[in-house]
Amino acid sequence: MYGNSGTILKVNLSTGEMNEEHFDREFYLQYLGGNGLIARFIYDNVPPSVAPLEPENVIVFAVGPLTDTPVWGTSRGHVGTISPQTGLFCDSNYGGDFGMALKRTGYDAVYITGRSPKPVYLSVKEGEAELKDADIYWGKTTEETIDALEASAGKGAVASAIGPAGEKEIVFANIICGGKRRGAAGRGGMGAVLGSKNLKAIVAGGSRKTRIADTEGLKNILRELLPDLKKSKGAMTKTGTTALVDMVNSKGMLGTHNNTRETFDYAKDISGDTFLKTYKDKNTACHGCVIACGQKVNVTEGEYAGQSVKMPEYETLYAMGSMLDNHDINTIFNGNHICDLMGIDTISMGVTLAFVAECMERGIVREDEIEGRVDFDDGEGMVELIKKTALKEGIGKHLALGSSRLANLIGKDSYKYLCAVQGLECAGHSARGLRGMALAYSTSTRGGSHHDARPNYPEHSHPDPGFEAIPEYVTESQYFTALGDSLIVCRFIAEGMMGPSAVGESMVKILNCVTGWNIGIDELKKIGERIYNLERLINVKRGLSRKDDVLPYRVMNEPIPDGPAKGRYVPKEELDKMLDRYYELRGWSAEGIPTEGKLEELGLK
Amino acid sequence: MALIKEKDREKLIGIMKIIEEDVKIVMFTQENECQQCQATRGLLEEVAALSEKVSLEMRDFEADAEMAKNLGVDKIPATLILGEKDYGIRFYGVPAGYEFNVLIQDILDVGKRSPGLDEKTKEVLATIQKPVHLQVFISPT
Amino acid sequence: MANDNISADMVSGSEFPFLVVKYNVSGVPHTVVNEEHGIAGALPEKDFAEEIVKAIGA
Repeated sequence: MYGNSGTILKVNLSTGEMNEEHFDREFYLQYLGGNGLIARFIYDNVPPSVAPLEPENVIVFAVGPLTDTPVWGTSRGHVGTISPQTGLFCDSNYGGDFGMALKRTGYDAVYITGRSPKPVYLSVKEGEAELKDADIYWGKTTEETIDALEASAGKGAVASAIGPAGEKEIVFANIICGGKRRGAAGRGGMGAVLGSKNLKAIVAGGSRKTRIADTEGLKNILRELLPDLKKSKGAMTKTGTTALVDMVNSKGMLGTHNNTRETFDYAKDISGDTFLKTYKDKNTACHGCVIACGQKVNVTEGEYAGQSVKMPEYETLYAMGSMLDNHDINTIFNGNHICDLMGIDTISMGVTLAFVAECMERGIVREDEIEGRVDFDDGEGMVELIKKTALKEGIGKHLALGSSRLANLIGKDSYKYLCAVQGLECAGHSARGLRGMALAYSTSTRGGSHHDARPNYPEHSHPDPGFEAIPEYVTESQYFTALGDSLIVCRFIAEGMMGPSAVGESMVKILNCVTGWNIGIDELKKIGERIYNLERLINVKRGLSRKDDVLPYRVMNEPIPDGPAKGRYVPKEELDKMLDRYYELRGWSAEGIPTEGKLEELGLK
Repeated sequence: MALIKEKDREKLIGIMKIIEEDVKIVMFTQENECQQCQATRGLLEEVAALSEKVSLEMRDFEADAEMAKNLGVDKIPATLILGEKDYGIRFYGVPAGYEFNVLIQDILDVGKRSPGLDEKTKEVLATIQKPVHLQVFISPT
Repeated sequence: MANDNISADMVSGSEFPFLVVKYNVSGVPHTVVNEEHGIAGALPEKDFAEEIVKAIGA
């Protein structure tokens, strides 16, 4: 087989048993790898009665046919499970080199179930795997763990690990993935799933090469596409995603003060095009990438003063910056670094803090109730609160619940201030301002996510395009991302040369060059459709339907108060119209359930 | 509408005949009563009607803040069961479900001026020389 | 009632959810002694008394 290896590793942590399973060309023609493969395994093996932190939940790390090929952005990997934050299917793509390292062991995926009686880590090599004692790593940061495991496993080995937050099963704990430019499988609390399984880390390394069917053809296509890629994504070499802050703010869509406003007076202070001039240390890159968007920054104040740490990306600058009225960039550097070390999703962390800050401001939750305070415009306070959350200390116990569960406890009208869908805090792309994100957040499988259907500046921003063309856009975008996450290729590379927002010819050509297949765009889109429907099915079996395809109260009831996007919001009638049309396009019932006919068409049971 | 069902009422009246001494139920609520405070007050009014020896005194958490503080009451709805003195018995929340049985039992114990514990337990507890504040968390069934 | 030093609150978890979080109450009944120590579950009377004594001695 070209592209994929055809073999996956299955690990049962309860018994310590490990075995290999083989899949044929037919399987990969249906699911590709990555996201697709994960959705299939979760659907087949995790019944709706299984709770996310129970041993019977399954978590799968997977790579795709393009992983570890000359295609840029293919050192990445994908992971998926049932999320403890949402109770739904959740998957996440992560940067760094762990995907590449796993591919070199010859396994397309590592399928993990059960619960180890003691802390362990999994060591994966070519054709072999071992569970090893992780007592000495339990309690250690992701950085300490990854550094130590990579050093002892030898050249080329890359590790992914949870931090203390995952060990404490915090519902927005993440998994940090190794490499020169480290990545995070951030959303949905998958770190907690590993924590509940007593699995501290996975370290992988090997020398197996991915077989490519047409190396010449691939080289030619990449050469052709490179100028387009550089033109559309070249700016990221300098700033990563951080220059988005100023751009989004200039469109009046930067969530501020828990999204009560969408213009931040101090946006420039936390926008990369400004702060990198002062604080940039150096670039970091995923293996072989020509864009090399990663950066490290020099911290000058606070906790990590004098150190060089990973630059916070756009989402973090939104969640820990504008959402908290915080423009003290050093506090965001420090807060971001603590999240990385302890293994916490920065988006959920920042947006949870913003939610509590607004509730406190409105007097609907008191300091004595949650054992402390959360204030806007208090970067130093924010850093302390993040530390406490990671350790579940004092107020940290309450914050570690995440904004949705906290809203349930606070009661009263706190739901009005929640910026979350299905329990997953929304990302920094405006649901009120960007017409596409309105339907994106409400229909994203994993909740308030910006990685199922993508934000689309400038098309969906100014002038106001209205809601008409959105269902078509979202449908196409969801295929595009499902496929990108199955191949696996970095979203930015895909948007830069295989998209920009829907499946393009180049994606098909590249896939065919690597795998030796001869499929066309329609067939590839069908794979994307199959994957998306499978994810939907998993959720439907857990009780999801149209009633859950919703948006936050503020988004549906409060117009943006000022700025270039003033007046925008998403009235219920508009969301309903979009959902009607979207379900129609998808071949789902009016309740948002995939119909028998559609499932048959896609070859799904 | 009565919160305590008729047949239960009859049974409770019978049970509470064993009360010998006066029992005072003190409830702390507030002017703008939340649903839980309302429900608690309604329930306690019916309970007090079950025996001549049991009376109900209503207090306001804000207006009687001094008294609340002295009694160590820090949240509402709060229900206290007092005999000739304060034994430190508090119910926070609506005393419904399982808590209701405990409420009645406490009223009986205070009414008999005796905690109804066995000797061995009393011996163990007698050794305690410093203040002990117990908070027993339950969920209403 | 057995000892003037002892006061006891019954707390409805569903009405005071922050206290449930504050005291890490994961199952009921759960008894918190002097805002610090936790006794999980329902114990026989004498055992319960002994746990309380242990908690405050500790």
